[in-house]
Amino acid sequence: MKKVRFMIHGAAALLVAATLVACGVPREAGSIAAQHAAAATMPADDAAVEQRLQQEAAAWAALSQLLKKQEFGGITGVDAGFVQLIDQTAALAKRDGDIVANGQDNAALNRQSLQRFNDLWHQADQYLNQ
Amino acid sequence: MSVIDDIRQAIADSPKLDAGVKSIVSDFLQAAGPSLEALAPGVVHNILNSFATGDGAAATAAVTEALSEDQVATTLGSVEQQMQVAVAARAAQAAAARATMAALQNAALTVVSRLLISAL
Repeated sequence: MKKVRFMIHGAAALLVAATLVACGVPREAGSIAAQHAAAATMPADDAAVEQRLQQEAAAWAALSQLLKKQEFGGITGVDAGFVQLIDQTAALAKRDGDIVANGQDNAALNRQSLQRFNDLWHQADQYLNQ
Repeated sequence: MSVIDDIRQAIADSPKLDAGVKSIVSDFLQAAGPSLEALAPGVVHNILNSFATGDGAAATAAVTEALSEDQVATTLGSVEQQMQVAVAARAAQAAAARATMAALQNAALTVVSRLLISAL
């Protein structure tokens, strides 16, 4: 009887451990990063750069939200530091979008920021999908 | 103490932010620079509270509201550098995990081979 109880407890502990190990951020986070990395180009037209900058905030906010979730079979080993960097990028993207929307922007700085966001998408893609 | 000193102290004292996150947030604030001195007292209060409760994201968002476009671009550069470090660390971690798995597989194969040989 003791042996059976021991085996049941052992199996339950293994199941809990396996579930914890298999939980991670949703795979969709990796897909979003990969899609944006693939689409990360620099438009020739200044107006198109402004439009892209205004879209960055929503995309980074979506990634930031996904990184706060956990699901079975998700991407494991995503650390708090990486999540904080994505939160910072989302906040900076929102600020940049607001500056553009208010007409306080500068074409050269817009290009510099968009290039940074493009690079960050590539890095987020590498981090989540390697 | 300046506003930046107050915020840095709040980060250092936060029991809910781990060392890695504290370092990242401190670097972010350093990149954001002198613009923080111009923050309204109410905003600073909210930022200090956010760090005290470990809500780094809310505090970061509040700090960012004070940045000019030039500062946004500079701070993005700082975030990018830290992201490169994070990507490299994860790659090293993944390589170590693969090496451990390979070693375990080899060890298991050796044991099975020995058992088979001794059974013959």
